[in-house]
Amino acid sequence: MGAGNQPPDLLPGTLDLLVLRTLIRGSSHGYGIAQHLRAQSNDVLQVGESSLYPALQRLLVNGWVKAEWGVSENNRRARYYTLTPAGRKRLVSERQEFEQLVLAIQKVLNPT
Amino acid sequence: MQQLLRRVWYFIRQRRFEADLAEELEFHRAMKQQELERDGVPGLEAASAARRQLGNETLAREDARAIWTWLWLQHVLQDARYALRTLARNPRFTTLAIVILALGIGAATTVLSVAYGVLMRPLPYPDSDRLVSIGEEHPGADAPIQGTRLTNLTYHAWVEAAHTLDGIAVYSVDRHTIGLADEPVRLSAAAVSASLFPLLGQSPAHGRLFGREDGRSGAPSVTVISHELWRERFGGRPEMVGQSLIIDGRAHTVIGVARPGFHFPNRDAKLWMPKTVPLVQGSGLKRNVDEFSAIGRLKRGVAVAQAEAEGTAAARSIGPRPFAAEMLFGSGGPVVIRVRPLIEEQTKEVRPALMVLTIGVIVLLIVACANVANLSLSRALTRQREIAVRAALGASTGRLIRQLFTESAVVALTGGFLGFFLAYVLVRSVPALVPPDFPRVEAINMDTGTFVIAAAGTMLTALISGLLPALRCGSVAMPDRLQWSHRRRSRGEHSDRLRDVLLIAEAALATVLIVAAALLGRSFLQLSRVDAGYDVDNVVTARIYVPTATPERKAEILDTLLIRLRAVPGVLAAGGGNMMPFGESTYFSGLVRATGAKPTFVQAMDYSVTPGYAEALGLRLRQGRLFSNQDTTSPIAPVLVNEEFMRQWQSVFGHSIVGRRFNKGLARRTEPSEIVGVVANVLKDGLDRNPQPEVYQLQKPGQPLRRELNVVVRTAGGPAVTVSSMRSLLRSIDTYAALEAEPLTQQVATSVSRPRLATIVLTTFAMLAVLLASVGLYGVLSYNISQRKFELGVRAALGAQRSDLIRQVVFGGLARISLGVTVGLALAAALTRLIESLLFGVTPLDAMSFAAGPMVLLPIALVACLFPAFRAASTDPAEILRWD
Repeated sequence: MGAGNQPPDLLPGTLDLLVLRTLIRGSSHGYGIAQHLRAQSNDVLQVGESSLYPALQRLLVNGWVKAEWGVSENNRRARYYTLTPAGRKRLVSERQEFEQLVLAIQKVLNPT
Repeated sequence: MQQLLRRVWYFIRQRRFEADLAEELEFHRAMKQQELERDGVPGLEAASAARRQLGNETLAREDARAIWTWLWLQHVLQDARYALRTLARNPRFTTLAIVILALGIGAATTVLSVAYGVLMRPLPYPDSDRLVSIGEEHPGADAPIQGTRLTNLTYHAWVEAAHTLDGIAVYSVDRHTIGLADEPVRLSAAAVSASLFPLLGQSPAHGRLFGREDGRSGAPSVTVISHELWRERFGGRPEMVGQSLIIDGRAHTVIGVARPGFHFPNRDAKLWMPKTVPLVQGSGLKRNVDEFSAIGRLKRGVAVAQAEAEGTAAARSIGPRPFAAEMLFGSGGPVVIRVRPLIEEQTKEVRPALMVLTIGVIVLLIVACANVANLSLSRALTRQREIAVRAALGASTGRLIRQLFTESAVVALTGGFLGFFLAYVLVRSVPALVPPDFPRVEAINMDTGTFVIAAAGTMLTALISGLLPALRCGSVAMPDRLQWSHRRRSRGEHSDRLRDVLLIAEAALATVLIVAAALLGRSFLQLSRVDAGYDVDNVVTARIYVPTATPERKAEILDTLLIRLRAVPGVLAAGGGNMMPFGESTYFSGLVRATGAKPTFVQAMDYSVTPGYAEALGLRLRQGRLFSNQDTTSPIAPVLVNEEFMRQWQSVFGHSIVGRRFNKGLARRTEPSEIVGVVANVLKDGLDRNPQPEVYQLQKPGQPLRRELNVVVRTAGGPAVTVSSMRSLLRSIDTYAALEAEPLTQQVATSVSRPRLATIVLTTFAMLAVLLASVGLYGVLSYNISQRKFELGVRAALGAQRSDLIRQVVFGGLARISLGVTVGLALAAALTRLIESLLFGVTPLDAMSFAAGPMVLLPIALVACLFPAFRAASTDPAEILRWD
C-alpha cells in the first residue's frame, strides 16, 4: 500500500509495533517517541525521522492512533499522538505475531 | 471503509495535512537543536547539525504522502497522462476510434433506453407488476374482433368467484363528441367499470371517482375528466367539478378530475364514463353478449398461468356459447382465457420491432468494438519497439498491459462520454419521431437507467477494444523484439490472425445487419405497393357528428351536404357511407338465402353507401356496375360485394355472382338484395391486414340514418375542398354538427409510419456497420502493407509487375471479407426468423435480401483494398533495399 522507508536493520513492521508500544504509556509527540525509543534501547535504535513520520502517518491512516495539537513541555506547539482502542487491539495482535516470529528465528538460530 | 473516509478527508484537506507535517518536522528539528545546544554545541552549528540529523525532509514528506494516497491511483493518473500524450500524437487514429465508439455507444444507449422505457419501465400505477390484461380466445377461430376482449358471460362466470385475482375492471374506448364552449370536439373516452380506479390505485385530484351507483340504469350521467383536459380546456378551475358537459348530445355531470399524469388505457383517452357489465339474460344460445377489454390484479404470489387455468375452467363451465359470442369471436376450439402482464398487452404492437432494433444495435456496438480493437491492435504492433524498450528498462508485463489498456480506456471513456451526449439528444427527440400511436412514449426519457446503460456500454467497449490488444502486445516476451527490425519481416505473425478474426467477425455481423435491413426495406416496399383498393390522392374524408339529430334529420343533413359538395367546382365525386378507411366497422353476420338455395350462415362486413361513394373513394370495379341514381327508386335492394366475399361464398353463389339475389336474414318479408357489382378488396384497417368479406348496401336519399355520417370527396386536385371549407358548409346546414376530417394520404402515411421507422433505423445501423467494416478492412490492409514493404520491395526488384502486387493485396483483402460475408449469411439465415413477424410479403430467407449482403459489402471492401494496394505497388524497390 504505502512505500515505507524502513531502516534496513529493523524487521519490517517492527517500527509500527515499537511506536504503538511507546504510545501505550500515554500520548506523545514525534520527537518524544524518537527519544523514548533511543533511550529504551540504549541508543541502539536510532530511528530516522524519514521513517518515523511516514510510520506515524501509516498509523493515522489505519486509525490506530489519532493526532492532536497540544503544547509541549517547553511551551511549543507540538502534535501529540494518542493510541486509539483500535490501536490497542492492533498492538496486542502485532506483538503476538512479532513474538512468534522472534521465537521462530531463535529456533532456526539455535537448533536443538 | 473508515480508512477510505480518512483518505478522502486527506485528499480534501491535503494542504492542511502537509502544513501539519511541516510544522511537526520543524518542531522535531527545534527540539533536536535544543538538545544539541544543551550538550554545548554553539547555536548556529547546532541548527545545521539538527537539520543534518533530521535527514532528507522531502523524502520524509513524500513518503508520508504516499501512505495517504494510493500508489496505484498515481500510476493510473500517470498512465492516463501518458495515454493522452500518445493519443494526441496520433490524431487520426484517436479521432476515428472516438467517433466510432461514440456512434456505437450513442446508438446503443438510445435504443436500449427506448426499449427499456417502453417495454420494461413499470407502468405508472402502484404494484403494476401484478396488473394483467384478460381476454378470451377460441383457438383456430378467424375472429373479426381485434385485440384482447372478454365477454360478459365469462366475466360473470369467473370474476365473482375468482381466487387468483384481487380485482378486475372492464373498459372500452370510443370516440365521443364533447360539447365545448366554442365548438364540439371529438375526443377519445373510455367507459370504465367503477372498479377501475381503485384497481389502479387512483385517487381524484378534485371531486370523486366512480362509485357503485354510477352507470346503473336510471343513475345520472356522470364523467371524470383527465387532469390535462381539465387544465387545457377548462382552465384548471376547481368549480368545474359539479358542472355539466355535453357528451354526444347528453348532459353529463363532471364529478371529478383525475390526478396529473394519469392515463388509461392510453394517452388519447381524455375522459372516463362509468360502465356496467350487462347481466346475462336469456338462456342457451340466445344469451346476450357484450364484449369489452378487461384488466385485473393478480393476487400476491399468483402466477399468470394459474389465473389462466382458473379463468379457462370458469369460462368453459357456462355451456355452449351463444350465437352472438360465436359471431364476435368466430367459431373455433373451446374458449381459452389469456392472461398477460398489462405492460405486454399495452406494448405488443411495438415489442417485436424494439427487440429487433435492440439486437441490431448490440450487433452494431460489437462491430464498433471489434473495429476499435482492430485499429488499436494495428497501432500497438507498430509500437512494438517502444514496448520492447520499456520492457527492457524494467517495466513489468502487468504494468505494460495496464498502460496499453489505459490508452484504450481513455479512448473508450471519451467515446462513451460523447456517445452519452449523443444519446441524450436522440432520446429526447424520439417522442417526436415515433408514430402518433406509439405506446408509452411518456416512459421514454433519460434517467439513471440510461446513464447505467451508457456506462456499462462504455466499460464493455473498453474491455473488448482495449484488453485484447493490450494482452496481445503487452505480454509478448519482449527483449528479443529489440533485435528485430520490422522492415526485415516478410510474413505476418500470429497476432495478424487475431486481427483477421476480428475483421471477419466485423464483415459477418455487418452482413447480418444488411440482410435484416434489406428484409425490412423490401417488406416496406411491398407494403407500399399493396393496392389498398381505393385511391388516396385528392381525397378528403370526414366524419360528421350530430348526436342530437334524429335518423331522419341525419339523412337530410347528409343529402343536403352531398348536393352542395357536388356543386363545388373541382369536386369530381362525393358520397356518404359508413365504410371509412381506418374507421370503425360494423360486422354483419346472419343467414343468407340465395334465391333457390338453402339458407347459409354468412359473415361479412356490412356497409351502406350512397351513390357516388364508390366513385369518390375510387373503389375498383371488377364485375358488373357501381350504384347509379336509378337504383334509388328500384324495388330491389342493389348491393355491391367485394372479391373476398365472392371467394368465400362461392359455394353459395356460384361463379357468376353478379345478378344473384339473396335475402338477408330469415324473414321472408325483407326485400331481396341483388348483387349488381363486385369491387376489389379494400384493406380498410391498414395495408398489412387481411381482406374481409364485405357487402355494400345502398343508402337511399332520405332513408333514415342510424349510423354515423361519413363523407368522402374526390377533387380534381388542389384545395377545392378543404377541411375548413367543409366544416363551414356543414355549419350552414346544421349548427350543432361536429366534423372530424383528415386527408386520406395522411391517414395512410400514419398507418405505415411504424414499419417505416423500424426500416429506417435498422438501415442506418446497417450502413454504419458497413462503414465500420470497411474502415476496419482498410486499417488491417494498410498495416499489412506497411509490414510487408520489404517483401514487396524485393519482389518488385526481382521483376514482379505492379498489377501482380495490386492483385495480390486486393485478393488477400477480399478473401477475408468474403469469408466474413459467408459466415454472416449463414448467421442471418439462422436469425432472420426472429423478425418474421415484422415482415410483409417477403419470407425470412428472401433471396434478394440475402444477396444484398455481398452486393453492398464487397464493392465497398474492394475500394477499401485498393488504396493500400496502390500504395504497396508504388513502393520504390531501390529505396526499400537501400535501407539497413
